[in-house]
Amino acid sequence: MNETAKLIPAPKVKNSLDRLKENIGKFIKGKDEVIDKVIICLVASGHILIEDLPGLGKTTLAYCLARSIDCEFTRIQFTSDLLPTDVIGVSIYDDSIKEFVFKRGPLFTNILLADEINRTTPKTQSALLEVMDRAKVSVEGQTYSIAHPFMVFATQNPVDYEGTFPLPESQMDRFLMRLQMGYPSFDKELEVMNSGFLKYDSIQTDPVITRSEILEMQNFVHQIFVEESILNYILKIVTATREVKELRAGVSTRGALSLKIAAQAAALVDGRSFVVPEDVLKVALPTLSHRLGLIRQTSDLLEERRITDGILENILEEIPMPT
Amino acid sequence: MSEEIKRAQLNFEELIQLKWIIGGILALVSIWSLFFLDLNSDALLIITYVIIIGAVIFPSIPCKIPDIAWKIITPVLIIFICFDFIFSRPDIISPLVRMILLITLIRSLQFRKRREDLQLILLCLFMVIVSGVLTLSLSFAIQITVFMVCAMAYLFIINLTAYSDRNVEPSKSIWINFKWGWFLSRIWKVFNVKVIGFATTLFLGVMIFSSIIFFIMPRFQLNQAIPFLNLANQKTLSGFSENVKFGDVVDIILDNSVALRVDVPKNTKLPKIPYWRMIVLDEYRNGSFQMSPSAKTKNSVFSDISFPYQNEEKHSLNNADAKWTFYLEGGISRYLPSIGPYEKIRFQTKQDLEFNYYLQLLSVKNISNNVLFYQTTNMQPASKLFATFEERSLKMMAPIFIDITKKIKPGVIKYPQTTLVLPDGDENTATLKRIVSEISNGEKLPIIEFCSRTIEYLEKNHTYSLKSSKPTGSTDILVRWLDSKNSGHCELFAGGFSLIARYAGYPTRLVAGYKGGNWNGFENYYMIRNSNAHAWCEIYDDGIWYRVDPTPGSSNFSGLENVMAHTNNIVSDKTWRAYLDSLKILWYRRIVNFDEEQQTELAGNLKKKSATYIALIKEKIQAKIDQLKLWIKSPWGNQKIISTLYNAMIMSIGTILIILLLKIFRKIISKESIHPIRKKAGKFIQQIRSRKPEISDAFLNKQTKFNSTVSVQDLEEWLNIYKNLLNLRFGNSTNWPDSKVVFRSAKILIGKRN
Repeated sequence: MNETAKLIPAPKVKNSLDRLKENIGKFIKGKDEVIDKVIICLVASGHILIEDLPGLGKTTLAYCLARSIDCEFTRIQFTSDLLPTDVIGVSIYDDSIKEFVFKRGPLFTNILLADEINRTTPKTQSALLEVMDRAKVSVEGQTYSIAHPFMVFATQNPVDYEGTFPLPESQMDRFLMRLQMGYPSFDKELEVMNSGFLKYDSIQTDPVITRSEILEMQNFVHQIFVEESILNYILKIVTATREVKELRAGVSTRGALSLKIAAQAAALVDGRSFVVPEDVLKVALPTLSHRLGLIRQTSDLLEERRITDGILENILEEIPMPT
Repeated sequence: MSEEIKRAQLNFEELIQLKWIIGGILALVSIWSLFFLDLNSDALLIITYVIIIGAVIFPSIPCKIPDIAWKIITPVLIIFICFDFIFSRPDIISPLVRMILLITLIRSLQFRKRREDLQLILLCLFMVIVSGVLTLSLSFAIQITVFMVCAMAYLFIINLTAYSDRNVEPSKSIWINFKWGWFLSRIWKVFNVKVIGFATTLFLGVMIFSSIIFFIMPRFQLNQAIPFLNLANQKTLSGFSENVKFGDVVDIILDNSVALRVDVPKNTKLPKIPYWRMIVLDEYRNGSFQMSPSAKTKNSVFSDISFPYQNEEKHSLNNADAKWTFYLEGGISRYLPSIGPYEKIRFQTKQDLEFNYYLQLLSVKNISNNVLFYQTTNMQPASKLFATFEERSLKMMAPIFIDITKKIKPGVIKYPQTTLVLPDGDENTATLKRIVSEISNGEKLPIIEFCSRTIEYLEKNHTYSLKSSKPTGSTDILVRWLDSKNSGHCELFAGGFSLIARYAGYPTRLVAGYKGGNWNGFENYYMIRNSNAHAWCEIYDDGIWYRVDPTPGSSNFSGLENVMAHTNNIVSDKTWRAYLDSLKILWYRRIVNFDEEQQTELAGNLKKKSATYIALIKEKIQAKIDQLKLWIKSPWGNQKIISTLYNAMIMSIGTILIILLLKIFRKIISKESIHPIRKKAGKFIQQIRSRKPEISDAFLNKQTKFNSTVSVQDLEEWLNIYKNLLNLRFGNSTNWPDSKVVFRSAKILIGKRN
């Protein structure tokens, strides 16, 4: 199945992605690991859920990424009265040609920032999530394909969740990774204070990678070789989550596949054409933790996250890396 | 116990490797068939064979040949083949086969793409078919079977590789990390029931198909239908043609292969040393004996399936139904050997025959390239032959002296006078005169007396040796030899005897054929090898040609000392070579020589035998049951109970052990195996991780500060090795670096730092 036909120019890919990292790093300071994972997600054609407090640079990160890879960027602020048509688009009667004309919504873009996705109704949420999964939009019998690459940055505020519609786990599964930004270190924040902008619109940067390059990389990911023992390792991790008592349910098969893809992307980002156990280790936490739910739900989302992360870390420590 | 059967599949590289190995085997099978042809190029064959075996066992070696070498070799080969064809004219088959052989050699060493693969199959097919048609040997059955299986597997793999989703040509690098053990275990893994079932069906199909070919081929005279194949490929031994030079028969003697097989009817009396008479040479000319043109004047030519032959005088032919079957190998002679007069000779198919009335010889028109069968009825082993009407005019005639260095003018001296011709010249005559007077003291001796004295004289003066040196001089070569004390071989003795006898006034002619043979004890028939080739004389007296063999060690006159022995009492050859040869005669008897009677007999025998076996088994089972019944009925004493318990215990322990062993075996088989290179790389990775954790840390995240056990310069080296090891452990085998190099440097690095 893993018949790598073409030799993947992994070092070349690494060079381009390093440039991209560097470029984003100019604006998002001290968050190299987050940037790294965002790039992994981009290469793996996955979507990201960022759960963190407002004002930590989520929007800036998404915007910088879009600018650096020569892509369109749209932002939707989700509110409780937002309708699916507001996201997807709507058919309007055009008097001049006497026909309904589809007016594309903000969804038709490359990088979509879905701000505070848990604020809107499940109806709108699922409209978006379906598009994320299928990469196609069907409106009134017409199918429209969305742009490539297509990547959704959804954000959630973990603290202020009064009157929200939290995403069910089945929908959390659609995101490849869940990340958190966290506060920057003192030094880095000082750097931001010195040079930072308040409004992301004022960020001026030139693209360092073309859109077609990104698409090519996304094709390469599936050809990254995964050795049998690595697949075993992934499955061992996944099955271990199913046996933990505190968890409501373990990681699904889709989760296992996501972990594989993420590991493949991580290998490519690191300039390799094969996955090593370290790649799996690197992406396991952000790829799996949002797919797990505790039996005893706590009132504090952050607390819950900390517990699941702890369980996962234990599992990862217990299962020996294949040699 | 539920077992999860994992469907293993060979990957592209493994398919290519399998393809290479099967291709090599295919070439080997086909070249093996060429060994059965006489090509005059055994050295080339053996070298090719060894090279290809090497290429199969060590496949990484031929890959190291640079591509430029293949480009150079083509023009060189073309030139070589052209010269080969020019120099071996008029023979076409030999250089053709050599050409095929060389191309096959190149194709089996070259890294083959699809075109070359198909070419290889065609080349191999050509070799197998050509040698099959030309030799008609039993081994052809095996060759074609093995060939077909290999070729089918080969084509199957070619298809698999051609339709795989890989659009990249395979590269030679697949051999760098090749390991036989791993490869065989992979092949073992993909062998599941389905594959075996499919392969068996295929094999059975092939068997049926090849056996049809196998049975049909001997029925058609293919070599007659295709004139191309008649360009005799096999070296014709000149010893049994109409011109025999001294030494020709000796050449044959050096060849140990079987030339003639004879099925002797049951309860026949055979001479202890049979003489298989093949060709008679009457004329002595210029140092050699030959069949004079005048001896052929009364030849009758006809085309028939049988021929009634009887010597002029009626023999007391007994044993009316006795049939002798002769199997004469191809390329020996067109003259048909016989042991005496017979009533009728019958062939398998219509033959163009020629009967020499004077010399009483039957021959086919063209020398057969493969084995010739004929059956004679009422053959009577004889040591004398009744002379024809014309020969009776000979009586006691004076020798005829002529200049034998010149061609005898036709019509001057006619057969049978040719049997009295002697070389002229005073020196020649003087020598012969001296010898004859020494033998007979000027008396006229009776023939038996004369012969034994002459043999005695020859034995006294010459010893037998295959290597003979002829004395130099200007006189006739044979007279010169007689005059000397040199050793000689059968031809010289027979020739010398003829000259002496002719001088004494006895018409004499030379006979070439086989003497003796081995009785094959496995299938009860006579095997006559080329090494049995022999020359002797026939001397005329009073209407009878007597056989005289003047060669020392076997000297006898007209069967006087030749004791007749019953076939049952003959000392038989029971060596493994005889066994192999007996397989050949089975093949001749049952299959090639289409004898309905024998085939029915064979089928009947099979039926009878199987019936007897079944009956025997039934009987044995019944006996066992009866025994058991008896044992149960017999009184139960302490001893009996104890021994029964003991036996039961032993049996149950044995059963448990067997079950356990089976389970362990299954576990071993089902244990997940890992490629040895991955395993080794994994061990190195483990060592580095445990001894130098900073290396794996550095690999994960370069910003991490590493402690001072590794300097910055070394770190690069370490990381490089570590990456290569990781590639060997987890990477795709197509992109593997050379494992040997990586392991060596890893070993050095780990060893150095500790």
